[in-house]
Amino acid sequence: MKFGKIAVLLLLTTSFCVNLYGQIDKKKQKQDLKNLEFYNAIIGTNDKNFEATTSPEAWKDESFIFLGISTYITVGTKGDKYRGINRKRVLLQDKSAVEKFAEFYFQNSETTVLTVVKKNGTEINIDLKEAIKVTTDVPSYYAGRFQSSESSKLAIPNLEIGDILDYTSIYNDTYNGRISYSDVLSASVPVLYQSLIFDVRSDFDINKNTFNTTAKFKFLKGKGHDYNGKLDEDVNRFELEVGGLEAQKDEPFSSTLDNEPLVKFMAIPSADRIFHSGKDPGLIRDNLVLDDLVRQVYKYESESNLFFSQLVTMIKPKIAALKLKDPKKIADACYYYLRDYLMMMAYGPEMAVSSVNNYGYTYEKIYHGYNNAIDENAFLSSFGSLLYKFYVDAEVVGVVSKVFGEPDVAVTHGEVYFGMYVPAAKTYYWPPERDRTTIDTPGILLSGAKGKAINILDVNKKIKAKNIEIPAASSDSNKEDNTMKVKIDADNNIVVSQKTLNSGFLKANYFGLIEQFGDDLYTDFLSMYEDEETRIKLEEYEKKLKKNKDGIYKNFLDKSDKNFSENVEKWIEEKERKVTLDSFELISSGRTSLKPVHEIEVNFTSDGIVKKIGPNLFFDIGALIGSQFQIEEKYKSNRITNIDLGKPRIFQYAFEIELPEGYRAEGIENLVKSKENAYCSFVSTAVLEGNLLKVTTAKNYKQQFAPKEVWPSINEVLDEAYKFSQEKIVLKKK
Amino acid sequence: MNHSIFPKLLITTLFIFFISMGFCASKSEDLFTVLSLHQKVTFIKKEGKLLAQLEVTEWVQCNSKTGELFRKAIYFDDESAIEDVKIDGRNQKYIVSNDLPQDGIFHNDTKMAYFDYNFGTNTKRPLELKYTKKYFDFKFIDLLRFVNNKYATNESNIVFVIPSWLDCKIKEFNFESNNIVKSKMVDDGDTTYTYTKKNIAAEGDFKSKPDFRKYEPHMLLLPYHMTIDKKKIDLLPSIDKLYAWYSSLAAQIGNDSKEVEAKAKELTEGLTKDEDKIKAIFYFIQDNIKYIAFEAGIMGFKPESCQNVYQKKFGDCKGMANLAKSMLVSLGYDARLTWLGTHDIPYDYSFPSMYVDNHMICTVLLNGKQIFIDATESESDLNTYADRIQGREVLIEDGPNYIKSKVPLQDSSMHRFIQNVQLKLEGTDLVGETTEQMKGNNKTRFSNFIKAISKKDKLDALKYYISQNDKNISVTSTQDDIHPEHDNDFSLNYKMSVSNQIIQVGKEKYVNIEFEQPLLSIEIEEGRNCAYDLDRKINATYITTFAIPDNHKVTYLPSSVELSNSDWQVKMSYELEGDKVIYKKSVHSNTTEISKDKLDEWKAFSTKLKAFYEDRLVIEEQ
Repeated sequence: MKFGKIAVLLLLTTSFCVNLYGQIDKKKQKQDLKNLEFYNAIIGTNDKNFEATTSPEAWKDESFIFLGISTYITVGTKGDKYRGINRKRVLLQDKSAVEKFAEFYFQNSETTVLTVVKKNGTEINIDLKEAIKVTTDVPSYYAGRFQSSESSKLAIPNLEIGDILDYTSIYNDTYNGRISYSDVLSASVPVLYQSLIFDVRSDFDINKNTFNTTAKFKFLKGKGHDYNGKLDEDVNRFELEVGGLEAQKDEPFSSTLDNEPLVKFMAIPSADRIFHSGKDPGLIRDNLVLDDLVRQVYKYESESNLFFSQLVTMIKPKIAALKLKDPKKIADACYYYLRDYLMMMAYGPEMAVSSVNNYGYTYEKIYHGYNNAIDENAFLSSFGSLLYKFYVDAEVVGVVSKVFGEPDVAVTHGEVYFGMYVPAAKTYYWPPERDRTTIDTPGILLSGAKGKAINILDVNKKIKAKNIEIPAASSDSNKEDNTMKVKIDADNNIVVSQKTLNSGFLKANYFGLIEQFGDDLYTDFLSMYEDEETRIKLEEYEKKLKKNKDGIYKNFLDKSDKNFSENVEKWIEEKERKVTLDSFELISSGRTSLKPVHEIEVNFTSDGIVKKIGPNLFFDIGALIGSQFQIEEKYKSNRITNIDLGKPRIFQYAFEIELPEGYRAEGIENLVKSKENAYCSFVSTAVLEGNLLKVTTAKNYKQQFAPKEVWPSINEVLDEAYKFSQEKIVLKKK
Repeated sequence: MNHSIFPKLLITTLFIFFISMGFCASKSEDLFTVLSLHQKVTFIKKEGKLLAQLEVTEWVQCNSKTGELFRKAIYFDDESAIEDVKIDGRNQKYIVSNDLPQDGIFHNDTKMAYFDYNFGTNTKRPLELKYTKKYFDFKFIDLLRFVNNKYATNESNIVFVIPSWLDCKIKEFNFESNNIVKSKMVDDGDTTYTYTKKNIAAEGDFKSKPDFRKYEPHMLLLPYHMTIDKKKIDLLPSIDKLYAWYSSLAAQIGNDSKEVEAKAKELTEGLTKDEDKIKAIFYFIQDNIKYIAFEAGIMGFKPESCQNVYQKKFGDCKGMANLAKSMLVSLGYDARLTWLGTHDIPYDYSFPSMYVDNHMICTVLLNGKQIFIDATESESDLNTYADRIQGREVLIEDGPNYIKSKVPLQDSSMHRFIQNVQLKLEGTDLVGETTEQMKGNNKTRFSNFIKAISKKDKLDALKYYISQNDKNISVTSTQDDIHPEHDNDFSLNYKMSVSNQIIQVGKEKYVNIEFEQPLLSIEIEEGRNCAYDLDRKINATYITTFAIPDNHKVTYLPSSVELSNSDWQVKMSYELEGDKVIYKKSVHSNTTEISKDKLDEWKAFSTKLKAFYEDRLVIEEQ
């Protein structure tokens, strides 16, 4: 601790308060005072690393660098409240940095201290009272922990190249359950020094670890501070310091999780620890224990729970009416019913009309209100309990995505994905992410994930969970399959009849291309079963809809159709071409297991593909497969990071182009391409059959991860696809 | 970027339009129809001041049976207030949003009062919306328009009740061919003017629209005098009075020029020529003072002191103009504050209103000449004037008087851009060397672009500038120094390689040597009712010389396209010269827009231009 620094800070506190509070209410004043006292108590002991004023030679060309970043959080000594400090020290090295940082933004709910350190070492505390409240977006380089709508901005006077901005925000907030922190330590520019300090009450369990760095957390028993900033021997400190962090590598197909220094920290309050293998509270570990977690996410719901009771009441007669006996069919029915019940009930057509009329909802909100992900625990508990109710054996599972690594390196709960496994159906059921999620489309991160499973009846027993591995997804199950019949009209427009089939997670790209209310949850549920009884029920339901054709419900469906139509138009829209939608039809929404493929037909006309050159025509055929990655030269060699190609998937096209009378196609040999390796491939074919030119392309990302050494061969494939996208053929006048 | 100094006057009117467009529930302007819009302006005298109020009644119909969200936004500022917002006769709560973002303005005092009306499913009955806007100062009365959103308006009335004690002129703009019916009625000394316009179509979603003041019918109130207790009191009767007010604000600045004088002397030490000294000051301000505009209350009109701007290193156009003036005066020059409206504003100083101007610069009177210094133009050379101020009328301070003058219109050759590309075929790629010569505003634009980029990212940014993100264009080398210098033309040289531009069919090669496609982005939409605003004049020549490979001959050259009228001269042509193909594009305009009367001609030309750019030259191996 340096006395000089403390004096500065105390002075700063006083002057700050005088300046800061002119127009702020007393409650905020009180909060700021407390925060500033806290700041003094905590930062006053930890500021030695924030005295740097110069940049290492190697970073002189950077626009700006972080001389220091520190994050401090204390938790566990004041109920569900925590208090934190974020401090950043930025050295501005060129004019663009001065321009960028000259407008300072801060959040009004926090207490903010801003100091400019001039080149000669003079420190100037910037008076924030002149700041103006804004509703504009906070630039990313000033964005805090989260961005609330209440922010202020201030123009920093006399800012020059070589100045240092040292700004701190002190905040307090509440938490629910566990405190989880996971972040990349590096930034888009170099960081000279960074520290993370977590002061946590000693009876909290702690998981903590670092990756892609040699830096480790230091454990300082009883050296932490409490919510008010006082040293408390019942509070432990976990401290991490790193230095000399280079700017993040911005290579394409690169995962920061895999390549950048990472820190993960989780504090679990004693009240939240249900199972910890029988050990006392206050466990300090590098990683989480998956065996414990899978037991916690599932809780049996009894019919004394009103929600569950209603659910059982509604689904039971339907399952009985359908005479379902097969465990898979029962499990599927429960899954879809629950999916639709939880995610669509509030927004189904009748409910929507009622919401608009009675509760002030707007149609816009309803149409775009589909993004609420279902609560994981609620789903698992409801789903597992329903299965139990219908005598279907089930296991609760928890797996760690391969993106994060093996299960034994997971640290925070956020890395674990929970679901249910029905052994009799040999099927995993994951909480639906949206109302379109189907059983065969597990989340993007689940392919090949490893983890633990335990029978739902055994979660409270001292039985070890077993190891499991989710089957790896193949690119074949995530396919976008386009068939296009193309004609050229007299004005040299192409007239296209396109059918697109989407399967697996690629369906997520087409959320907008599903009619919102064309089939509601009831028909959806029933349409899973193609038996006579179901067919009759569906017909009855459709009659019911028709009766209401002239009513509000019809208007609502019309609106839904209009929305859908607009989305289709957006889908086919091209920036540089004028594309007109002629007609479209949704063949299948892909929302159920029996029809899991999303299928849509669209007819459109486009200019800009066929161009006239003298007497001939130029056909920009490559453009029909859409834009393709083209790796910039600077990224083609000296690859530093391993490769993450994203989930396995295939994009394929089959074109059937009718050549206009009196023309012959030349240059089709250029359309035949083939590059392949173990990780990806691009293959195209082209044949002429009479006046039909038949072209196929398939771009296959076979595996998600690849070592950096194979980057050149991956590049070859990406280049090949790009080259195809640039190919043109000539239609010569005979 | 519009460095407006008096935007509060405009924001109210402009934002009504833009924000209501932005926030409306649907993209379609067909969702609602304004059945009737009634605006009534009245005046009162209070404590020797003239106050005004605008009462608005609006009937809005929802055209969708499914109901829609109608968002109403009403704008006000520190000089006005919104009262009595009612829907169907009942008070309507609203939310006030402060400091609305406006491009180029750091802070303004414009506030938006807004609320959402949900038509629900009961859409048959139209919504009746009423509110009153009170003006605390007559100078801030909004421009009156016949529309206040993007929807079609069946009937719009604007009523002015001018009391007998008020001498006020109603200035009309763009009334020609707009079928506006006017009536006048005198009753008990008050004169009521009523303007009615019917069947106003929904606003088209047109690209690059000029400011509405250039084409839309609207009115401006010019209160000259009022009589209180038989005494005639001046309001804003003349430009003299307007200038007197501006001048009184300028007099309150509180300049303390000691510090800036010392700096001015330091900057000009050793310089002997007047022009060099003026440049030294101008370029110092450009390089060291950041443009940040505060437009709130009186600060929207009163320049900040020179010492404040100098010390803070930021200021708005008024503050920067005042700093320039103070530094130059300290060196003994006759430098003066100067008011003007930029090219967005179709008004001049033929009538007294604060709507006429939105900008301030500094004018130096030297040897009988006027040198205009726009300190907000951060990279421009002395005597190079941005298109936005060229030809604009200015009001130069002159003690108790003023000088009316104009920023000169500059010959477009002063702002020329010439690109020379030498291309040849190498394997399947085109390779070549390019020289781009930039003068005047073209140089300024490039300089502004490149100076905003950090040293580390400059080369990448330059490559992006050259290729326009076309992945087929690869810049293989450039000159080291890519920052233009003041007072010298700038030349940018680079080598490039372009792939995927040759299609070979047998012995024929179809060659594309067009990578820029100038003017192609101009699209004249169907039904466009206003000019197309380009924001700048263009004087550009592009010459590409393609070396025909050995043993090849040209078998096809695209035909030329041309546009020639009083404003524009455009020609694109391919010519064969020996063993070279010369591809020349020249674009010259003496205006910053495509005027309404030339839209049809442009539309036809655009179609030809598109086909021209799609065409390719063909060579054949012998």
